[in-house]
Amino acid sequence: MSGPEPGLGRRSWRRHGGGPVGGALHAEWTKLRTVPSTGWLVLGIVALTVGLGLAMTGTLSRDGCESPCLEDTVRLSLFGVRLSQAAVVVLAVLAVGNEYATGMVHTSVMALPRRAWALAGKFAVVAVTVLVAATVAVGVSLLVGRWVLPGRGFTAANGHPPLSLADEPTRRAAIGTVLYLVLIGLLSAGVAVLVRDTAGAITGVLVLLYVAPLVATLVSNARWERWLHRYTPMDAGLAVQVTRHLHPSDIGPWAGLGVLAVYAAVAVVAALVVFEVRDA
Amino acid sequence: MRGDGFGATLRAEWTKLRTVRRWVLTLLCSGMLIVVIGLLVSSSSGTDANQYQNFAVGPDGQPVVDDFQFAHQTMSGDGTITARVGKLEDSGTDASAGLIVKDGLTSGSRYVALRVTPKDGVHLESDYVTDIRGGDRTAPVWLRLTRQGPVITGYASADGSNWTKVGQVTAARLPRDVEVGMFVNSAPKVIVKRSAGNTAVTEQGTLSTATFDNVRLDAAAAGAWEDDPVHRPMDRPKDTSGESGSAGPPLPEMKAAGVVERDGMFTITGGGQIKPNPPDDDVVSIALFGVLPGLMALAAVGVLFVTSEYRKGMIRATFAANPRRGRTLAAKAIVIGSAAFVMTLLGGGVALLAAQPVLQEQGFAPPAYPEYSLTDPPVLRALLLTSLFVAILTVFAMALGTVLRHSATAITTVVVLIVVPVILSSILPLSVGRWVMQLTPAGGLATWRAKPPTTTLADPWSMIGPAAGLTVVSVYAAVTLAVAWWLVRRRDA
Repeated sequence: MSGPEPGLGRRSWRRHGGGPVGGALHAEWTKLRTVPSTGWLVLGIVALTVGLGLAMTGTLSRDGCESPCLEDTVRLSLFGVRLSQAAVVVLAVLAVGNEYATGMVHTSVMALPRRAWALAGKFAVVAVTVLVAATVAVGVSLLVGRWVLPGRGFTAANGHPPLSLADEPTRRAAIGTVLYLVLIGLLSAGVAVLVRDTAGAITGVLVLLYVAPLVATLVSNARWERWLHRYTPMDAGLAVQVTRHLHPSDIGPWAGLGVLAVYAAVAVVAALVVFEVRDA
Repeated sequence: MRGDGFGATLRAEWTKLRTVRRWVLTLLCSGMLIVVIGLLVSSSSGTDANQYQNFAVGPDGQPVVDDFQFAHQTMSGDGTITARVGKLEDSGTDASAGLIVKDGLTSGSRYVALRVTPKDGVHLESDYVTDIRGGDRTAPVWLRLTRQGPVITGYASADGSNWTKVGQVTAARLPRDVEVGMFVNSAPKVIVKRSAGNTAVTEQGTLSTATFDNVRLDAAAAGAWEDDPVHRPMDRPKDTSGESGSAGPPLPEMKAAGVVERDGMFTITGGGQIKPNPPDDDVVSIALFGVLPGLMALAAVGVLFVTSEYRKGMIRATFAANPRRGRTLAAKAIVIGSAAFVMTLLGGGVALLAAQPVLQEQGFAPPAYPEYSLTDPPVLRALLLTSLFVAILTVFAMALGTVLRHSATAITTVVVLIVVPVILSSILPLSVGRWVMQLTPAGGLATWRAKPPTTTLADPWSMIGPAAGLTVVSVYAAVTLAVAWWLVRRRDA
């Protein structure tokens, strides 16, 4: 634990006039913005969400659907986050991991000796960046769904009014999906600090996210299956996208997102503590 | 090292791999992951296939389907039955009509049958295992089945005087008194509906009708023909997923199953099938499920095997020591591919052995799921091909790392290319889902199934065969390796 060097820190706050947090935020924003991959990843988040959503709704057919057909069109329109969350993971891990890989972290810690603040600033910047990208991605996906679905036979006449944020479950799914991506970003950033290794963090988070749902599809023991759906980050978190067929045994939409929030909070708090006490 | 050739390059790459402790640990971890996750999934899977059997139990304890409409009488000792199949209706599924010698009327008992089909010629079959195909004849056709001692011989003829031998089988365990006669059946129609991740499979019974004339039984004592259906006893409430075979309700406009005799001409209507009927889900793929997380760890090592050299500048030393860069790339591919193959083989082998008792406890037990052993050809094939798939995928990851020179992007791309197609194709309509598996490296997961592909499961890896899966992942690896080879020769290190 290095002792605080108020002089250095204070000067950097003064320059940006935002107090300790403002300075850290500004510094972190500069760092994230100037990594060349960030722009591509933000673009990727939007493109993958919208692209896969279009692929899902575009190939949807009413033939396979019993009548009354209660396909969850909102969830399908927002299906792309299952893919684009990988880009969020990479963005968040790189925001942290690159500093370790290049040794930049030593400079950062020297410039801002109140390490937890610096790291909190980094998390905030990652969260806001993902928030903006996710909002655009979700918005466009829903617009695309609204435009494509009637052509696939899902019209108001047969119980599928055009997707609209005025509809409460749809709004919940939209807001929840944006928050889902933000939480995935925070979880990944936290893990990256804990692991201090880009490749390890990415592999670890992707395995955590993707393997559990696949295990759940294979497991035929109902108790296990329910446990996996309720308490693994991806399945629980994406429960917020469900607008139809809310099954009583499934976890509720906000409760599911809460499970993911617990994962993210544990990772973030652990990262803040570890970052404070550990050598960079 | 100069002049030492490819062997030295290989040795150099092997040294690099084994001296980085983190990689060795990850390699070992991947092996453990394969075992631990395999056991975890095995112990949390379960089946009630043996409590609620939708199959008959065959003579060797295996699950079979044995349903047909039977005009029969008892034959003691040697004898010959001859009949001409005049017309055979093509029910759209697999229909057949023919002669059969059977140990009683119980579904699942031993038999020898000679049958003609609308499209698939003449077959001589016995005990759900033996199947001898004898020519492309179709109705009208004369058939003859002769029992002499333990040997039963089938003949077919176009005119009833010039006979061709279809084949012969030794049926030593068929008793002296057997039921002999004519049978007709028609396979049920399997309807698979899939929407939003749920696969519903229903079987709709179908019926076919065939006529037999010139029926002759040469035996010690010939009596009257009796009419009986052979089918699995319905000893349980029908489940919602549908019934198979003759138990299914006949289509509305159709006649009922049965035998009508008029002036020596028999018109037989029946449904069902006679064949092995193992459940579609595969215990081998459950035991090997740990390969999925395991291959992610292996792919990560594959990527890092190259990218860390770029990151640390080591690649310059490597290329300075061995200016033939293509060779270095080949050596890396061989080293990392072999390491991945061995780890998967070991992990998968241990997982299969350790999961067997666990799976049995969860209900995956005989008769529905015969005990497997590592030396069974399908199990051994699944283990070897899965290891090969993981090896090729790791080489693909290595090549992608070389092309992108960026660990994070390369690892994420490989993981996403495996996982997202699996998630997608379990939700998309069947035909689209199958295409997704056929076009992405995820298709390689088909290698871990020991049973043939099927459309009746939600698992995407059951949609295509292992050959198609290995082909697609090999194409990805080969193309990426070619691009990597071209790039390392062209660009600065």
